[in-house]
Amino acid sequence: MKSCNPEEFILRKKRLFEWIYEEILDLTFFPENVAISEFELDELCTRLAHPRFCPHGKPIPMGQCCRERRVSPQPLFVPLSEIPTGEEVRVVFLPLHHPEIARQLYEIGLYSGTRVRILTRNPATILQVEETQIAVDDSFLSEVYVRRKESGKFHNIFPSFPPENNT
Amino acid sequence: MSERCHPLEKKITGEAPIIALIGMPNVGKSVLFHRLSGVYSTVSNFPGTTIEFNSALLQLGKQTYHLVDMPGIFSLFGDGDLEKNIRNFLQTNTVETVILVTDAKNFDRSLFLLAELAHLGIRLLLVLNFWDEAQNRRISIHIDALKQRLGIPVVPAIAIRGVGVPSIIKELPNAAVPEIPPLPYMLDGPVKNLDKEWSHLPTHLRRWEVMQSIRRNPNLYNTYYSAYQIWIKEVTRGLLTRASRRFTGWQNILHHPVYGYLILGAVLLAMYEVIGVFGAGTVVDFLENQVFGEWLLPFLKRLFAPVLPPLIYDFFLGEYGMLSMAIPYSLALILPLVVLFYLSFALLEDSGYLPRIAVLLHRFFEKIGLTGRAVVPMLLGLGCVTMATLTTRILQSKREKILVTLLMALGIPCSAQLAVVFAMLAGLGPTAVFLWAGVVFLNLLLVAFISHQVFRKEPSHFLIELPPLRFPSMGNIVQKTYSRTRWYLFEVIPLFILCTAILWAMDKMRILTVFISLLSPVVVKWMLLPPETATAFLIGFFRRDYGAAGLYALQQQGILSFSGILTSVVTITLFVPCLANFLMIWKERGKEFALYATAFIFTYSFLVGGLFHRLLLWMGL
Repeated sequence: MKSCNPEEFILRKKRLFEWIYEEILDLTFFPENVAISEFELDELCTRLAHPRFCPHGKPIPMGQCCRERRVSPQPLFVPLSEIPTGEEVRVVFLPLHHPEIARQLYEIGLYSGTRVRILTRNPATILQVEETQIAVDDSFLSEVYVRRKESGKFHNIFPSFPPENNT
Repeated sequence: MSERCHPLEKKITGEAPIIALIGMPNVGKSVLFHRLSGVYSTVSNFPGTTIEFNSALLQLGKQTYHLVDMPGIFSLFGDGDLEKNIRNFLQTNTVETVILVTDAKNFDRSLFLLAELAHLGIRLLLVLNFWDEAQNRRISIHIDALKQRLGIPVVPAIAIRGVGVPSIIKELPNAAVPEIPPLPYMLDGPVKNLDKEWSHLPTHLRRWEVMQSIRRNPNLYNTYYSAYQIWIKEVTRGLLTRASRRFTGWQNILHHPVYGYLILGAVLLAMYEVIGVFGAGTVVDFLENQVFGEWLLPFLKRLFAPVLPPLIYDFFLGEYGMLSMAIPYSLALILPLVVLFYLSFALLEDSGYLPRIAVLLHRFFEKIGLTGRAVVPMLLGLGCVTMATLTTRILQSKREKILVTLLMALGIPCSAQLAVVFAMLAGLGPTAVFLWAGVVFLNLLLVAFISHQVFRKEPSHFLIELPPLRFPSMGNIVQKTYSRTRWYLFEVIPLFILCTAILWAMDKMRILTVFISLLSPVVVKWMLLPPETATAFLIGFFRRDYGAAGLYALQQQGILSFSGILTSVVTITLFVPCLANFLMIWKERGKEFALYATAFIFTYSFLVGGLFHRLLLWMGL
């Protein structure tokens, strides 16, 4: 396995941890020195569905896992296309596979934090985005990564954490 | 179908400062425009009603303003035609104030647009429209806090009832450039470079180009959006609360995979009952055959035949006479049906059902290379194809625009033509209606399918917003029907009169027979129709509906057989676009396309007509 450049590794670690702290723990500070191996960081990145940008829009360097497109058995962020009809989820990020689509989604109100629910998939996909109903192509669904709730609460990255850290 | 449009995409002359209404689609800009200025501009409950700019003078105290209503957009820097026109307008005119109209239920998503306007240094006033709906859905917005955080006046309003309009007028002078955070520091470098690149432009125009370039570059705009989505969260934190909602709306039945289609069928059937059966069968029959056919015309003919010289008598009461052709066709035959159509269509528009039809037909449209979005212009085409051709601006790709323009010119009958067709088929029973609709539909499908196979390209993305279903306001329905009927009376009927005068002159100068003898081999030999129909098709070159009215007259005289009626009706439906539409296509799609399309449609309609007639005869109908 090709080992990556240490500067990139630090940047990648920092920005991936921003996702965990901001999105999952709802905290605004980040740990300075986390001892984590590249293998472990890849594991983390895979569970976060390989975000390409940090929550503030800065690019995250790609790791081995991103290039291989590894899929986690228990992903924290999943594309909207994998969410069953009727379940309410929260938008986390747009992966920018297709920038043109992402732009339209931003503008119609699908940005991080908005609540989304798929109302129906047939005859066309209809999304309930906060107070708006939007009919879209199926292809749009894989352009939105969301967080699911589990038993009424949003998923926690560390299952052993006390529940008040949930959003 | 905005009939009262003033083309205003360039510069406004005059001294009056400009106030522009900007906002996302379907937030009620046109209602507010109407409320502020008293000038009616078409209002419907679906996104994309306003395509061209509307303007009116607004008198506030001693100062006169130009109030400009603009089409709805999501971002100033989008690639569509609408955005381009708005950009041009804002760049060439100094706009004093922009009234940013938003839907209070989800005003937060308009904040991206607000940020864009703020970057350009435009003074803003924020209107939270549909305040009542927001209250009903238990959405609470802390207006004072919002005012403070944005630094601009914020006015809640219910435009349709005029609530909040006085406060908008009162707050207009306080409009200011919103306080938003500067561009994220990550963009500093790129912005500096872009500034250099556009350094030949004056400062305010340079800002536009820089913003445009940020938007074009995926990495830059991602940084931009990420920064401002965090800002939106901060601005709305604590002052916007939404009660959690249950989404078990009964409305969902409208796009149910089974019931949705049944409801669509029922709606279409109801429209047919009103327009085809009641309008064409009862009202037109009475007006055309009783009032004109049995009372007025015979009386006038008896009265004037001995008095007037034959030339003048023919001008008014002859075969191509004003009183015997132009007036009965336009007033007795077409007008009642058109009014009924406008009325029932206004109900569809205002209830918010149109975009739901787009959803129902999306998968189907996908197969022929279009998206459900194309349904909206095509349905509007049933009102007036010319206006609907303008509406193709809401479509995204050029290919889609071209295809929809062609399909509408080929086979979407406008309300007037539809009215006459219904009147002709009403007497023949449901089989005839079914056959006619089926053949026209199959032809549209065939042309779309072939062009999809020929010009196969990347599919465009389907995205359409579904407005909430609202109970139509009777005032607006009446207003809209009135304004469209007025348009018909004052702009279409003069055309009929002109057309009839030309026919009369050609008839007198014996040119008409030449034209008819030119057309008649096609009509008689190929389409197996009586030679008289050639006149109707000739009129069809001016307007398809008027040509159809000519066929109706032939049917009344008993010249056409059952299969002849069907063939001629199908041919006239697929016939060349009317002159107005031809000019509109020329303007929107270019000269070459307009000419090629017309030539294609001309040959195609006669080709189909002949084949269809042979098929009918072979089937023994």
